Amino acid sequence: MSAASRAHSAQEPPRRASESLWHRFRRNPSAMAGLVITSAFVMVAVAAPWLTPYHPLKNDLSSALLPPSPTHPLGTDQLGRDVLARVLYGSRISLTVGLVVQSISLTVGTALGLVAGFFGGRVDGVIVGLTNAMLAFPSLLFAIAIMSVLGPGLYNVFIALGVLAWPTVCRLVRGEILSLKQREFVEAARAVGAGTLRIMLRHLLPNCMGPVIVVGTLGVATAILSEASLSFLGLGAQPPTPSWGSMIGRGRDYIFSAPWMVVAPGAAICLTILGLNMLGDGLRDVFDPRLRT
Amino acid sequence: MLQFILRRLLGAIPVLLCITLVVFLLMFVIPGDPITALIDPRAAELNPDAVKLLRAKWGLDHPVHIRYWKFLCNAVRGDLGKSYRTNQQVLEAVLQRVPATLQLAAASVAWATLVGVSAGIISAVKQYSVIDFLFMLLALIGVSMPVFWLGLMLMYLVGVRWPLLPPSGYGTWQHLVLPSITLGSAMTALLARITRSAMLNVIRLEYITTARSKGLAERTVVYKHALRNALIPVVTVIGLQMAGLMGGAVITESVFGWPGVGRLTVDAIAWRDMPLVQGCVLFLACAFVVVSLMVDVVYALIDPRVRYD
Repeated sequence: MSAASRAHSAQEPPRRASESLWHRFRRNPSAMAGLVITSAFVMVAVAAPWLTPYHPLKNDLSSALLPPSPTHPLGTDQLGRDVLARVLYGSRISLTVGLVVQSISLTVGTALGLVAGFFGGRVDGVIVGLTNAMLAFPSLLFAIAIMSVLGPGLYNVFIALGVLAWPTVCRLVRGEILSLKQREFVEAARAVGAGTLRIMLRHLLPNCMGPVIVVGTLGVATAILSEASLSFLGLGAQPPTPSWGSMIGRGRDYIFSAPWMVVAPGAAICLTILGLNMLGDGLRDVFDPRLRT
Repeated sequence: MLQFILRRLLGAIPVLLCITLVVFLLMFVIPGDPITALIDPRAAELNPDAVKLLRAKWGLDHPVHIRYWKFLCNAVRGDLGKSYRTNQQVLEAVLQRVPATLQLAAASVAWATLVGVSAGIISAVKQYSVIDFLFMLLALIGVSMPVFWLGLMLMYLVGVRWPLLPPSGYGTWQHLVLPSITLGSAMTALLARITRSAMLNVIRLEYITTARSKGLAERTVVYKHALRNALIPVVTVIGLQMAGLMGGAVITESVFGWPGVGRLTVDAIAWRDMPLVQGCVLFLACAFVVVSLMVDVVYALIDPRVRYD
């Protein structure tokens, strides 16, 4: 967030500031498209049972590997399960992964970033060192290494991706706090007798939420993509869980005879990530037009 | 300059130590050990002495910290132990796979740079045109597409549906096309976006106006004046992405059956071949650190404003 826009939003009453943010957001077509796609994704995840008559886990070997048809719009897989049903239910797994992983990373990252930026000194040194060490390693590879140790499974995916995602948030929050804590409103708060904890939570934290929301949104996309990659490699969600990544992993063996098993879940991942990326980019433009890439 | 490189090299050591330690320690959380993965449990029950012997042979009966220390000492001497499965030296097994991974990575980076940077320049020069919109939409899709899915789709469409290229395997340049497109796609997309925004930032600067006003050809202005300065963030991103390719290589290689370090890693994990996993991860991490270092050096070379201290 630029100094000017920050000063601007600090002076205005909060309601008007948020209204102008929404106004800017609404005029950004790609952000709106992202919002629509993301909302659709969430709604599908919630309403999956009402959108398809089939159960995602119900085998029916007599109708295995059927191509798309009116009864099975996206065909069936090697066990005769309806691919559409599995894709729809798969959104639940992806949504859960995105939300859980981001909750972990935002909580840990914000807390550590806040502490490091505010107190500085040795605490800062340790946290920054840890952050740099974590960021100095290719994250997917690290996730694969962790999963190979913890063993495959969805809960372990949460742990692995959560552990890997916080340093980005931490670095960002720390940077924001470093500049925010020099500002006059902090001094003013201290002058009227606000304690350290109050300054941190009530004055500093709300002011760095803009960039955190952006990174959080883009982080959901990364988490979903990473889970899909791990599940594809057989390290994530285990059968029969309808995870998009593991559906592609299974479908891979049938790519030549039943390509629909791979096309549908892949397209679902693509669309979801696209929506989240557009939403994240749009939010960034809204919160800080200078950061546009 | 030399001092700068040395300092960066020294700085990389703790990172590598951290990685070895984490990889090493995490291996202990695995339920069961390689012996149970290797030998049928019923056979192990019948012959506990043989199991004990195997444990002693591989040093599995020592305490954790001693095993780590031994691992480190040996690693420094280039001895990463032997694969549990094939009994081959780990270093040898990894090095055998390195050329294939390098080939794949080099091809991906080369075409990603070529296509991504060109698309970025065209988009910036023709800002808000149809072509700009199209390129940026493609770039956004490229960033959002899972590597393994793109790989499988290419394999199906170009390899099977319209058989133009071999769908998998290793050997000729034709085999390299699909995997390198797959691995390079995300990087291409990202480079196009970064180049575009870097160019747009530079084009607005005063010295560009000066260059134009003294009557230079638009081509000279774009390529000689603007691009050179816009390249700085682009080089950083290329470097960071090259390092990131190590993760993507694991997936791409296992999709296309490419005999590189990435696929070896996945196989080693499936076999629970601890020394081999450690060797692979250590190699990929070293590659990452070396590439990051090279990026820093190149960065300092092309931007005189960067100082070495």
